[in-house]
Amino acid sequence: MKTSKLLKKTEDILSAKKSRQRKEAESLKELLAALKKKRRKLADKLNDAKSGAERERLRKELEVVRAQRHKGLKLLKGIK
Amino acid sequence: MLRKAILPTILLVLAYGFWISPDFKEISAGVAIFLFGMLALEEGFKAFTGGLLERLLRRTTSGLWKSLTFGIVSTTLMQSSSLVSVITISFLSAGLIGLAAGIGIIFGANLGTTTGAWLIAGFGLKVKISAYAMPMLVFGIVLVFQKSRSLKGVGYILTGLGFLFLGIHHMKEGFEAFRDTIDLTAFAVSGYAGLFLFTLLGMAATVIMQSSHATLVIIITALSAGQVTYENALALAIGANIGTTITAILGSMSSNVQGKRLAAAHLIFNSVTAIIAIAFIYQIGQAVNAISAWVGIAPDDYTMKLAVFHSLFNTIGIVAMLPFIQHLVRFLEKAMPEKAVAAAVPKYLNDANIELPDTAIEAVRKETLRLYENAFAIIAHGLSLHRHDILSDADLSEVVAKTRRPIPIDLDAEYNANVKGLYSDIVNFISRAQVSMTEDQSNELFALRAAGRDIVEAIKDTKHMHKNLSQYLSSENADIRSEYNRIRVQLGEVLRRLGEAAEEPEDPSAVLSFDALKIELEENDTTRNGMLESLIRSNKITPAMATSLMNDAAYAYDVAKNLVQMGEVLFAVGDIGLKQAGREVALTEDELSEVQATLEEARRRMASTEREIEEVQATLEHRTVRAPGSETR
Repeated sequence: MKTSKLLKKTEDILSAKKSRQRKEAESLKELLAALKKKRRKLADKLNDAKSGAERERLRKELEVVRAQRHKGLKLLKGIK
Repeated sequence: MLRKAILPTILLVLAYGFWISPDFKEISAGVAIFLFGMLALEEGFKAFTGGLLERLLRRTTSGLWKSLTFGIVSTTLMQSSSLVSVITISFLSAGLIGLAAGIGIIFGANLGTTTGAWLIAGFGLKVKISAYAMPMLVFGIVLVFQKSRSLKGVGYILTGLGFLFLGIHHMKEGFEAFRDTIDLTAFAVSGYAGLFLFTLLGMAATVIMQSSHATLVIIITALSAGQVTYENALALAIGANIGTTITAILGSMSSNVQGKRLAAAHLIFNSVTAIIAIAFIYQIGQAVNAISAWVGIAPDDYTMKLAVFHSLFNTIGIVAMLPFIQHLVRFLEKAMPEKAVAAAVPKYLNDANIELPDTAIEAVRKETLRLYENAFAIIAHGLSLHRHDILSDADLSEVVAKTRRPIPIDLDAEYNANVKGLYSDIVNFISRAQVSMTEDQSNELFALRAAGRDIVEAIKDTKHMHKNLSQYLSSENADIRSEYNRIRVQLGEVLRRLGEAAEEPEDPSAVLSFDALKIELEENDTTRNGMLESLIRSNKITPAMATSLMNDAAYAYDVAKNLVQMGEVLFAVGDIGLKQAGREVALTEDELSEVQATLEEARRRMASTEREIEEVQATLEHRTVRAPGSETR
């Protein structure tokens, strides 16, 4: 490993801010994964839904999850 | 009076001792430095209680063997069985672990603590330990001044270890110098009389210092300097094992019955172990000789043999008690029954939980959940709905349509009896718990306090609309009845959805589904969706009814909003980081409006597409009809 890389890595470990950001990013990734799973589940349910009201409710939930994921990904990009 | 005299007497005795013997001064200073090292070590480990310890405890205490291993490993690392037992009491008291798991950890801690004797006898006495202490102290203090909590924690741990080593060094030096002036072995007592006497001495020393580790260091250094006989040293070690339970007992005084049960289990285990050790002291002594010879310890290396003895008799204790662990749990549950706690009396808020940030937060969360449970019943009955109907799969519109008689309830009296006192206790506990918390942990407590306030606000708003709701529930005017029933269904649905989110303890995204609920609330708000105007215009309700409905719809909207806000905090799962990530990802009002606009647009497009399809179909039908008609042309 090059000295500059080694220094940067040491700084990453020792810096309180970096360590906090790392933790934030990890939490966001976990949440985004859960949202992705939820989105798939909702999409499957929407495909199977028969009543109009049910489809409307699922569409709403799906749109909300989409917006939340979009926001989460933006936050994650900001941290990185 | 006696209590007041103890401290000055101890100080005077110590001062007199220092005056007549510089060696005694060095030994005492060694003990003081050692104990200070223990404090620094505890401080260091507390830095890692912000989620890490909690996660570890949850994952490693699902089975008896796991909790036993956790006890052994954590005590070996922390070198303090007292700290491990106090932390375990806090976690048990906050309901994070069960009693059997707690007992398993305590058993393990008893074995883990014996590694200290091995370290001191095998390493501390054989090398110049102070040489290691100095760099540890320097590196430790540099790290203590860092901003990062983890680095600070590592710094305290290093400093603590440095002080431990330094303390051992001074004790060793003191006892060696002591040897030249006084021979303490002249006070040695042999036989069972000596065994009991020195067991009591070891117990007293540990109770005073509240650290069996410190007692063991004194025993081992005194033994290495030949100031105590091997036989008496064994008795002292047995006494230290009983004395160490004092920390757990003191720690449990302020905890709930769970913590007290664990302290009792600790005392029973250590006493049984001590009785076995005393009863079979000669047989165990022979076994120690055999094991020592087998592992290559010299017959006259009494310090190492003491370490073997310490580990052996604690292992015997575990082997003897392990098969009875479930019996012990049952016995303790029977002997120390959990008193039925009134709904308005706190169950988890106690001083044992306030010690650690994790347990304090968990205790507040659990107590706020109890507050919500009390509030749930009040709000449900205030809406003239039964809890079982809300928590079932029944269609709420049908349930509501069937009930035209209000459930009699005095909301003020219920609030005063089941909510007000508990809420005040939570707020008071939070203000006391914030000391020595990180910013994130304090924020979590603030969020929980806000959740408690939301619950109280929701009850108050329910109270405001209760009178009209009860009146119009049996009104002859079907339209106003239907509007109030709509409010009941809506709030019942909110309570149901909150219950569903609470049942998803593994899904960190569960509380985020409340954003969709917020959109639904906006869409169903009678005051904003034009429904109210339509009813007034068509004279279906009187102006007085309209005013009541307008006010109560606003109250209902606030009840729902407060409950959802509360749910977002109270039912969030995972560690603090995950909860905060959830709050950041949750949509703001503007973002929700954008989603609503997108949905509206999609609806419009869909409607227009449907219209186009209908038109095309109509055209096609028209052509089909005209085709045979072409003959009429």
